Amino acid sequence: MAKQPGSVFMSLYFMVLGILLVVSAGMFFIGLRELASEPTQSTIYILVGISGIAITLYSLRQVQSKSKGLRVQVAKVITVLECANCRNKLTRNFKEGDYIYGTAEKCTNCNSGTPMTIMSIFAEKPPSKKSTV
Amino acid sequence: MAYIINLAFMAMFFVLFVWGQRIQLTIMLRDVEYALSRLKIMRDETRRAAIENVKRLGKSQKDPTPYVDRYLEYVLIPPVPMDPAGIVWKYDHLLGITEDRVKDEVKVIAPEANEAQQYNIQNLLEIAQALNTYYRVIRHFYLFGKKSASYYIIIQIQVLLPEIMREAEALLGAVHAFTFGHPVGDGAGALVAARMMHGHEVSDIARDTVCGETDYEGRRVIVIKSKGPGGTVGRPGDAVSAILKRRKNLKSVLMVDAGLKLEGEKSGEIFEGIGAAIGGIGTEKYKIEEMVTKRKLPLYGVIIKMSSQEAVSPITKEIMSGIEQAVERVKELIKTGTKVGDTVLLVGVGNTMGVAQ
Repeated sequence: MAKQPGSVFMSLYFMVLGILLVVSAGMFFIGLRELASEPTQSTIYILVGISGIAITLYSLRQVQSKSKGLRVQVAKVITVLECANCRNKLTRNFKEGDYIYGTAEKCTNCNSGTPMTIMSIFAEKPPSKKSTV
Repeated sequence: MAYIINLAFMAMFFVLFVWGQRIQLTIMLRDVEYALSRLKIMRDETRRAAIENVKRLGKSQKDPTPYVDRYLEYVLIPPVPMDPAGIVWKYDHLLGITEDRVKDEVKVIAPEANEAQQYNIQNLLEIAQALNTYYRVIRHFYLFGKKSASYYIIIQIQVLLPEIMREAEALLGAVHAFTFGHPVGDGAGALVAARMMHGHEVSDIARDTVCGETDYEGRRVIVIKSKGPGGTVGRPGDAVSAILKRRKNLKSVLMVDAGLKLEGEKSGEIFEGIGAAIGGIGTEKYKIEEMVTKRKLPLYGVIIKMSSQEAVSPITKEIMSGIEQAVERVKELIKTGTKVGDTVLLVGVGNTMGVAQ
């Protein structure tokens, strides 16, 4: 259904951008060369040239940012456990099946054999970027 | 050279004068097409994740793909709004049927998954369904706009695109959390309730909703939350109705929920309001407002700010700190707003995935 980037439109788009870049660069250099003899016209050439180059670069940047693909933020999730017996706190990576006020592994601090209670689960660091697609 | 440039300017003027709107339309269509291709990738990715999760947790002999594909197209047909009296109860009934049906079907396709995992699978399917709906609607406008070459059809969808894409990206980000059962930002209200009721006896009060009682500074606090750790929002409206019918000595009702922050605001900050702090389709809010108004009870809300992305992603440190602040604020409100011996109702609203009681 929807065409993916890289279709005929994209080729045409890049061709137009290429022409615009060449023409703009040409105008810019002509303007510089003739600046001494025809200052008014040359200034216009230089301004149009700079504008053309800026538009081309901006458009290329837009295409580049769009072609990066989907990025999903996957956070590092931390589980905080507490022993009901000795109040020892333990922090470790989240394991599937962990939930707040659920029980987890036994406390190694007091050796009472009491399973620790999960008190908190949160994403610790700002999400790192991970590409999934 | 000057002659060529003048000619080029005239040609450009002519082209823009005659085909200006057409060129603009093509550029806008290109934007919509790009968004559509992204939505398709998101929809397919979520669908794949849902199928894989059902297979991984459910261990069924049956291939879940046909069911997942059918679910993506499920719709809730809204009741007729011409005579709005009683529409809330009709919606409530239809929502109940939808929940029952999905629950039963998930049990069939994922028989080995435990109750919490089955709820999480339901949530994943809802995400895939929402992304499929976004994709279908945008595709409709894109194709219709392209066919009719109507500037106004395309501009409508282009205006809405940034918000739609933000919502869609938030949903895609949620897939990871719902696959592994992380507590999400939306569960902030439920976690505040859990902090208050933990260690006390709890009982079922309404569908997927539990209630417990605790004492704080000589006040009796009845706490309601959705039943965790599976991903459900429960029926807080039914629970509040049930409590208010049973207990005639209540002095006030306090609600805690996650709320969307505005651009520029900090996540995890709390603010307060008067009224029912609860989102959703509106049926639960209606029930709470009805009962509280009948009993003429004060109704307060404590809201924890977060973005739409944070609401469906694992709870961040900032939101966790907001939750602890909200617990303290709730205690303060109970202490300052009631007298010793009073009874208060506290309702923690939100998806309780990864949060027990």
